[in-house]
Amino acid sequence: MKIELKNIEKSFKKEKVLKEVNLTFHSGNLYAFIGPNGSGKTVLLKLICGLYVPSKGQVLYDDKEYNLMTQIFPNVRALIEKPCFFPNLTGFENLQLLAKLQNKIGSKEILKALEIVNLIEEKDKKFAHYSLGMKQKLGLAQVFMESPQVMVLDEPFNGLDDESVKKVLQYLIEEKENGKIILVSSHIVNDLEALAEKIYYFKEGQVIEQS
Amino acid sequence: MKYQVWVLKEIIKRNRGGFGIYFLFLFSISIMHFLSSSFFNLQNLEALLGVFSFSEASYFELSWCLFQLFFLLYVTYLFYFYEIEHSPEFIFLRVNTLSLILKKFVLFSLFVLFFRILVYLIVFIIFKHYSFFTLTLFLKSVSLPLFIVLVFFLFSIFRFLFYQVQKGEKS
Amino acid sequence: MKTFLKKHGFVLILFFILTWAIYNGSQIFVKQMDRNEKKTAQILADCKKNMSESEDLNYKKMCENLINNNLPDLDFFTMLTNLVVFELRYLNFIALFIVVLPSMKVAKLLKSKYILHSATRESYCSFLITFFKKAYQYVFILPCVGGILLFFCAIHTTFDPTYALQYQSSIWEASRILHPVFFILGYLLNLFLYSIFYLNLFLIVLRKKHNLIVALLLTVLLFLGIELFFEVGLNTFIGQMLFKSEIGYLFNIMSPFTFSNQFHVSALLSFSLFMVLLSSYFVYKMYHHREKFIMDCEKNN
Repeated sequence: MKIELKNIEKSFKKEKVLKEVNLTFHSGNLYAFIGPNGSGKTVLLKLICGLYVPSKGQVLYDDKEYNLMTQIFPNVRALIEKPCFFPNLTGFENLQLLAKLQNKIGSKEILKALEIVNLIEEKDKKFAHYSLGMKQKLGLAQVFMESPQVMVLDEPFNGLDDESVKKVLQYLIEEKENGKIILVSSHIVNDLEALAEKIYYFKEGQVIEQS
Repeated sequence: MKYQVWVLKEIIKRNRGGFGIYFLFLFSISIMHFLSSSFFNLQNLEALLGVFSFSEASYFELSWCLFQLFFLLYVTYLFYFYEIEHSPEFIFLRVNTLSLILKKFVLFSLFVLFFRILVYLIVFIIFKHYSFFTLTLFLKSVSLPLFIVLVFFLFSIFRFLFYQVQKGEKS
Repeated sequence: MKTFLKKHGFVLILFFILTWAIYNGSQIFVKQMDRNEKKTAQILADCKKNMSESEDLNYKKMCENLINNNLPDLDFFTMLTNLVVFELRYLNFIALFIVVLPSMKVAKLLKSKYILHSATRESYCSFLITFFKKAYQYVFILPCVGGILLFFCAIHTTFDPTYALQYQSSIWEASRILHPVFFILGYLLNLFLYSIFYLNLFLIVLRKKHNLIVALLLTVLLFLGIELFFEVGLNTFIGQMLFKSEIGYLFNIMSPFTFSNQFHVSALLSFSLFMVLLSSYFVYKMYHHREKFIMDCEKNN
């Protein structure tokens, strides 16, 4: 699979947030987006997911443009902001409900995803009783459970303990080697420097490739 | 559809106070008739069911009809735009937008129909010995809310297409 | 100038639309009265021409009355009654929106979680002053609309209340009509108090719901709910049934422009003042706790 961003520009009420972004992402790679707060990382990730439409330019999946009213990008999962689930359902039930939307997986895959994020012991606890870190883990589990082709993660390690971070990073490396495209943003360089094929640095809406 | 049912359950749960107040007003107004016959004119039963005409309505009838209208608008808005406020990436990457809006329209129309039937039944049970209940009255009490749901359905297509998801203007 | 228009453009547009609507309503009434005057003049001319020749006693009597009685000039209170009760009756129902819509911008402060940034830069008191300044900056719009209504009535009529007293064409009784200055002051003060009350309702709802559209819908629901409580609970049940009194009719928050004649001006103003004080107390209770406010802003996105 290939994701292409061609001449992407994004403005909000005359303020240009992204300027002339041209990027291509290939399978089997992990891409890191690093930059200060407000530099446009989240906006770019939302454009890649199709949550935003670019003011100029195109987002192409395998050279194809999608009509976002009637289609969805193929096999993409994301965790962009603070995850919101139904407070009166357990972690497991929440994931089950989401999985039923496309009916691709069963309980086995959901439990595996919870295992990866170290949330297996709290799976039967109601979401309303989860701490911030547990909520973040559940958000990551909903990304991992269907083993998507493209994973878009915005500041995924916020609130996670060291052991969980290690497990998640290990999983991301495995998925990368399985030919997935992984896009991760962070304002902490150390998390991703060793793992990413390319690191894109954001500054005032422009993207600079570092390595 | 199961997901949307849970969305609806969540919205009803969060606003159970509002639903409680709605039924409290309905019962209070109905009881007022028996305690003070000058208070409520049975010829204006339509007003109790939320159907009214501007030119003939008293302040009280107008207030009650507008209360029902705005309550419906409020719940409709919360239901249609629930995902926008609660992790849109969970839904919009799994289901296409048009299909999502269609499912919401079908489910919410059924809910509004059920709710209006419930209100009609309550009023019927209380006033069956005192007034005439016709099919026309029932249709009138149901058609306006369903019309509002339809208008919201069309409005939400427009909003999703041009403003919310597409251009990223968060509510 | 550009900045001023950008900042206050919406309010100016709203104000002009309302001014045009009031002007339009007053012109409809004035034209109607002109037509009536012309008809009366025509009948008078016919009377002068035909009265002596006619054998119909009733016609002769009517003509004599018309000729002998000089029609007084249309008065201020008659015109105001007609505008408020007929041509512009919708003003009562949109009064809430007139006050709340211009203050919508304050919702952005909460939605953007401004308090989280300002908490480390200024005192909470200072933040609240900024917040409430923004919220109440258009509190005079409703009295201004009322003032324009009174202005259009004043330029087309006279303050001589003979017409109203003779033909009972005004909803206000003599004690008010005979003191137009106090009437106007009381009318505008009443509108001002209602303006503050409506804004307080909006602020109470906004404190919990930072989404603008949800806050607007809930404000209307709260407003209608209070009105229904007054009608069903206070007026009918407590007022008419328990105490056999009509005092409950005083409790009406839906007709600020009508300035009901059923009760004395002091009662009307006392009620609106009471609502302002009660709602202000609730606003104080909801906004005075800094920590709860910050936590609610963090939760609401």
